[in-house]
Amino acid sequence: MTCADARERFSDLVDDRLAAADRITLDAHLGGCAACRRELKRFRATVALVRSIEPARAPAGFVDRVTAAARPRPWWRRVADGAFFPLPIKLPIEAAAILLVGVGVAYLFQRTPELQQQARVETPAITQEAPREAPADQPAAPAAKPDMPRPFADAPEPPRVAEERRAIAKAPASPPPAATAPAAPEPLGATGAKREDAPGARANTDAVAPSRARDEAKELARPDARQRAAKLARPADVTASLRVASRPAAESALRELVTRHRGAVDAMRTEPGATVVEARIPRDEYASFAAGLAALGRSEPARETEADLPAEVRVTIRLE
Amino acid sequence: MRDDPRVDDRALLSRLRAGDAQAFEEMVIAYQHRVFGVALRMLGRRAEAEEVAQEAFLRAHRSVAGFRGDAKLSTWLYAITSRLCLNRLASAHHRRVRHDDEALARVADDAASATDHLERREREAAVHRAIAELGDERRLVIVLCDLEGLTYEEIAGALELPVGTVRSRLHRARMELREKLEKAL
Repeated sequence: MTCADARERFSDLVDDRLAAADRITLDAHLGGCAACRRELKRFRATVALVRSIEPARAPAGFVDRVTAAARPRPWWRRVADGAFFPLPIKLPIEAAAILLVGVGVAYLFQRTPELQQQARVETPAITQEAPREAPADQPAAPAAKPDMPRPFADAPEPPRVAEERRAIAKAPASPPPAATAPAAPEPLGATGAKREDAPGARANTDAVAPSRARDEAKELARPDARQRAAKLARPADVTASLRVASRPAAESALRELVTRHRGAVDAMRTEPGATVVEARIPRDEYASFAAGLAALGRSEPARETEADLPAEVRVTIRLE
Repeated sequence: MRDDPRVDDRALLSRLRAGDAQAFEEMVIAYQHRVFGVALRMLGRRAEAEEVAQEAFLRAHRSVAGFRGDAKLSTWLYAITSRLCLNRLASAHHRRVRHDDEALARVADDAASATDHLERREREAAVHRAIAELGDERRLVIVLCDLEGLTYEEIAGALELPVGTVRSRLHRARMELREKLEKAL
């Protein structure tokens, strides 16, 4: 047995845990090794010194405090302790949870109106649509483009007008409504326009009106119709109000008048007590058109822009 | 081991499992000094030691139904106390508030006040200081074995360690204490 082996067994020796055989071997070594005997003596003294320390005593009142703490707590106290303690851990977690719920509710609340708006039908207003301002990047008048060809001399008829014309052609002819006003423009409606594809017969405007509304809706639903609507959003160059005896008759006569003067009806909408017609007339036809317009009914003072009329005069006529 | 022969573990355990409040108080009375002593030797501060000792008894009270009774009641209490002390020592807070000579001297003074012997007081202060300077695991086995009188097997059961590990750790702790005390004394 080496000295290291012997010293490794000192704790077993001191604690009386050494097997008999090991004890004999260790004793034999210690008998011949003064250094290990000195080490063993110091080892035993250390252990004895540690074991001689007075035992500690619990402080006064310790038992009372422990038994008091062990008593069952009221249920509300247990719930509160479970919910809030330990504070450094649970409070931040609960604050974060409340914040998360608040953010989630706010997010949903903001999203809900948007979703509701998306659920609404995306069809624009048809009968009540007011003229919008023209986009800033578009010129107000075609005068900026002097080389622009006269748009209505040989331009194809707008599709909507063609549809209306076909509807008018299909509608059965009926006696005109009672002509109580002397200014009933029957001759205009009867003779038709000068253009080759002018309508040949006066239509029953009452029968046409519902189909016209449908056609207008179809027309405005087309993508190019929206573009046209954007172009027409600029204020009219000429506005006028006509008091007519019969609005249907006046509408038909006005169409004829526009067509005869190589113009185009862009929109016709019904408002309470009136029909508003938006049309475009070539500048060189405007004077004649205005004279014809005066023949349709008693006109209110017209408003014309101060500047020279553009090549394509936009007129808005209110039939009342 | 310094068992209190007046405490009948088996009967006390039965009453504890039955929820007998009186039995709990009897257990605290019987083992308060031992549990407190382990906590004090490990933590070095009386207030902290009382806190840990109280928590050890409360945990025993809460978990007595799960105690199989295959070990002594005292061993079980030592196990709970040891675990709490090691956890407390491993906490960041305790690492910042280490033992200091003043705290150890107070512990030594408390222990030696009854004898009022200067040399003894100085010797015990040196022993406390040396024990406090040991690593946590070595200090625990020294406290349980040489201060509390537990056997190797009881220490192994309490700390859930092999007996060989307990023996080895204890021997290293004693060798280290010997070197420290020879320098101090």
